[in-house]
Amino acid sequence: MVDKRNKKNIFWETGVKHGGLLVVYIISAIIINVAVIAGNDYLARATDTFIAGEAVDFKSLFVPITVLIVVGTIMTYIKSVSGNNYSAKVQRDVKGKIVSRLVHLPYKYYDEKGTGSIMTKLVSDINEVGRFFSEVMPELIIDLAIVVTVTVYLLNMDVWLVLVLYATYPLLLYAADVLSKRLTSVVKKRRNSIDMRTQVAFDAIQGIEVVRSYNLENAMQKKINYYIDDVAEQGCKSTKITSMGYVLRHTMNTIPVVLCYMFALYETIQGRMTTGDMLAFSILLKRIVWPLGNIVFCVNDIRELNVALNRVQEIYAQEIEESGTHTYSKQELSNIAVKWDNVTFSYDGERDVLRGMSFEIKAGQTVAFAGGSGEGKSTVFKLLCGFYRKNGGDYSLFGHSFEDWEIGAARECFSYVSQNVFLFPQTIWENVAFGKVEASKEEVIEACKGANIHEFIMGLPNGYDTMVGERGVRLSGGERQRLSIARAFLKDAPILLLDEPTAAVDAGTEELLQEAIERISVGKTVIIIAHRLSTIQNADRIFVVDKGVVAEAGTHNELLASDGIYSVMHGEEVAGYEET
Amino acid sequence: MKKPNIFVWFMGLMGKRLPVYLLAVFVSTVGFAGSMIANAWLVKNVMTAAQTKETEGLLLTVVINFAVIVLSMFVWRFGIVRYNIEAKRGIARVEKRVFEKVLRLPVSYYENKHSGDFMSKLVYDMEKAGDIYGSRFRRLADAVLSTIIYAIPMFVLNWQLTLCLVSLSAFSLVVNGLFMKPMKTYGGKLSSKNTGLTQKLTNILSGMETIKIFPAGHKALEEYDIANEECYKVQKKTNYISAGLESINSMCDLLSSLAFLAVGVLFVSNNLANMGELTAIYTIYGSFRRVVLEVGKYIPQMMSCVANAERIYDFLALEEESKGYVEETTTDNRLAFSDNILSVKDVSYGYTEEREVLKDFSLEVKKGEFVAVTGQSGCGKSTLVKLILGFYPPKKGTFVLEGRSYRNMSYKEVRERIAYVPQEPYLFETTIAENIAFGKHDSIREASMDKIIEAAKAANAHEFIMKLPEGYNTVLGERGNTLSGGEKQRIAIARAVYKNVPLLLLDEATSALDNESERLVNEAIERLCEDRTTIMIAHRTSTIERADRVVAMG
Repeated sequence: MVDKRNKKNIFWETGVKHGGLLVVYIISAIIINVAVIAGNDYLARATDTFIAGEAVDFKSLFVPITVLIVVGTIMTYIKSVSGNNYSAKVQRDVKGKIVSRLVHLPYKYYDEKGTGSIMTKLVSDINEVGRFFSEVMPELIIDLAIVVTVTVYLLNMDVWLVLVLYATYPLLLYAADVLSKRLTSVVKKRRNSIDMRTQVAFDAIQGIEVVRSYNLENAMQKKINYYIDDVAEQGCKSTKITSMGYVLRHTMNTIPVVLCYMFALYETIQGRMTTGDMLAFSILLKRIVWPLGNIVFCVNDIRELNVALNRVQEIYAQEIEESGTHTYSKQELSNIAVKWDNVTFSYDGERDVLRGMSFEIKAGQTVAFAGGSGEGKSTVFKLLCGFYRKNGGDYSLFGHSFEDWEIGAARECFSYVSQNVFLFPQTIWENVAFGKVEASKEEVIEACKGANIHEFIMGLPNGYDTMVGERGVRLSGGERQRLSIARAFLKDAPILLLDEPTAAVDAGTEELLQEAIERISVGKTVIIIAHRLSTIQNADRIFVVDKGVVAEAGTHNELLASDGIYSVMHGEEVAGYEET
Repeated sequence: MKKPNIFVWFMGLMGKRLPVYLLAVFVSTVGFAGSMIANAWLVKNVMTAAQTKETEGLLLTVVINFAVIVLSMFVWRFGIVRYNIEAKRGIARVEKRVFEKVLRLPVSYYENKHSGDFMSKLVYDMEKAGDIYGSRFRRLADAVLSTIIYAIPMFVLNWQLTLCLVSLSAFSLVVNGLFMKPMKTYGGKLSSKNTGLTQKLTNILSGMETIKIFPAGHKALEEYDIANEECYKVQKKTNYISAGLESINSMCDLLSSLAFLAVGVLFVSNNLANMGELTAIYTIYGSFRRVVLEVGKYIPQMMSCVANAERIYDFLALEEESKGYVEETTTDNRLAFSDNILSVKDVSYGYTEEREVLKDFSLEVKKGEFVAVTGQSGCGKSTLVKLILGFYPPKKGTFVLEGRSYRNMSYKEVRERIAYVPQEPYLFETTIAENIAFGKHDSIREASMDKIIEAAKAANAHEFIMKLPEGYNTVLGERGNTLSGGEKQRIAIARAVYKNVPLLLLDEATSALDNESERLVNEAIERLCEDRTTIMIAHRTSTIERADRVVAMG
């Protein structure tokens, strides 16, 4: 079960889950620090004694140095592997979690965001996130550790020194904060432009045939150039800000250091500090200055990466589509398949598509929706499947309010047959097999036979292994429709949603198609979107949709007799035939 | 064609920006080094003062030093900003070229490649390759420059001793060099795994409806997970390699300290160097070691990015759609088809060598005629459309349009003369007005609103457009998904009307349209056909019956 709304932070979740690696990383990093420093100290001392003119005892050096080299090498390996694997694991898990969530998001989200944005988030932002986990965060933790230990050490030496050292930091923090806030807004803009760039590119590729035939290459180029340039410009702006940060950091780092030196010098001259102490102090100071500056300006980095983190988190935190919790056994289902009472709906909140639609469909009936273009017939299907949610009214499915149904279980009730089905850029096998979890090859073939598409498939050079979809064989509407019937055979759902094909595909195909539709309709509730009245004359009930409501309902003959919209439409259709 | 050095080629893509970029990298390095030197000098002065208890003139020295630090920081910043600007614009330049390329590939490319392929190139490879401009090159250049800067005084002090030390460092560089190739290989592998991942993602995004309604649709998610896991595995392997590299480098670091001591003892005891020289070299050697280490570290990192640049190279090297095609087969130059607007003569074409879809196909279309082309699916109707539009060059045969052979025309000219309405209308994610204006213009700014409305009216689209809250300024969503099939079709027809050329090429929609919609569409088509020549791939009997002439294919 997927949580309806995720308040949890996806990075916190995954970051903690693999936290063990992070711990290993930090421990090994500390050991390396100690080992490398110790090793260098050994060697430095030896070199010092040598430079001072004394003999070097290589033998006494050999063992400790060898040990340190071995420890250092191994630990470096462990540190590197644990840090990078940590980041890779977090990235992998975040991607997986986000994608599995994608399918639970309401349709509205896609209408608003577009493919480009989601793609950029999962390909590019996630990389940035990886950098956060492999570079920024571990470094920050280690820097903090160094700063704390060295500060404690320094406090033991001279409290005043520490005060002088930290005197300018509030100012530095403030400056970093101001800069990073400005940076955030620039980075956000930049990311948005990247989204747009990706979106335009995707749009152009999807519509390449139109681009070609209308010589629109330059138009598309201009469009994308605008965003590419904007991405670059925002990038330049952010560079200016971050580089200002660096300058500040170096300058402000230098001030306390110089002050500290002067202060230490004063103390030494006054005799309160020995030259040795001062030397030790200068060594420690060197070690602490960089991490100190890093910590402050990590704020910059973190704010920048935070934009990426938030963008990814935004998908994760997105409210998923509404769903009830109930699944019903067969005995609990009433024989009223679908009942709508005064259902209203609008895609954008402005243009009302459904304005109070009511109808009732009994199980086993064949019903049809007829009516003009743009009157909301397709919208009915989308609402039936719960792709969009109604704004008002009641919708019950087999006697249970749709809101109570677990959304997956509700969708189990529907098969959708249409010429406009999406085919994945995969083989026919795979495409048909979508109909059923773990469909066997025999089942797929059986379904295709039922859908009258088997012969056609066998006629293709690669048979069932033929690639279809955006790359591969382009299938005609009739063929696609039959593939979708094959899927419906596999799914075997009680309600069949049938987006009627146009009457004339070509005569032979038409027959195959009708036969297949009849076969799949047996024992099912069939809901048809009708484009031609001639094909629905035998329907148990016809709903005529006009201006977002069911204006008339009845059988073909009843409707003709009532002399309403239906009979006008019917008259037009008949006249249309006679004309040609 | 021989592949050039990818790195050199990629840097060359910057064009005129390159000298400024290089200079900026140099300036930033010098600026930074300047501040470091001033810093070191400052510390030295203070320490000397502490030892000698001599503070006279110290304040002035400190002030001067501090000023130098600040100044060099600004020089550094200037360099950094400049180089970043050049880098960002350079990346933009390459991106534009990549996009320009994808718009100009032969149509067969799009039919054979998954759209995720290109998306991954644009988003993933471009980003990684862009890192070369953005950071990898500067870091490496910085380290190399510093290495040289540190090496010079060492050589001056005592070249024999320095030579020994440098050759030790060189050894570690060679070891690092061994990692170049595997890093590049894995960079490439990672990139191709990422392409696979993007493909799966594209599938999920485009097939959302199917995935939602079929429980087995979750297979698409599983496929993503599998690709994700593969990606992770390659990443993990890469991590092991780079960890190996890092640990070797850290080992070399300690070893070189030890080596310095040994070499120093050897040289001094043999009187090849004196203590003073040794002390001086020792102080510099510390920094020298650090930068050599960096060179070693940054080269493999760079190579990983070069692997991505190579993918961009391969992509840019793809052959573009030719401007037009030259036929070799026939010298038949009779252009006596004066009253024929289009002549197709003896054209053969097959997607593969073995299977010919069209064989010696001929078609004469007179001015003003309405020709319906029919035939079973798979008989080559759509192929004919594509050949007429010049999407593929025919294997054999001639096309003559308005008295000119295709061989004398560019594809651009051919397409300028034909208004095409595809089977599935494609609407771009922009306003309805611009979608119509695309018939003739590159953007809405060049178009006249009156003409657009006129075209929409002719296409029976005006009414429903005006019913939309934003009218012509309604921005269409992805794949125009807020409009019904008939509405989309009518906008596509309006686009063809707006183009206003004598030859119409229509691939009739097979997808479902309701009666009214179809009536509106047909009416629009009829209006469109009036004083034009029309070739229509027809599926409906009503259309076929209306035609002046029916050509049955297959």
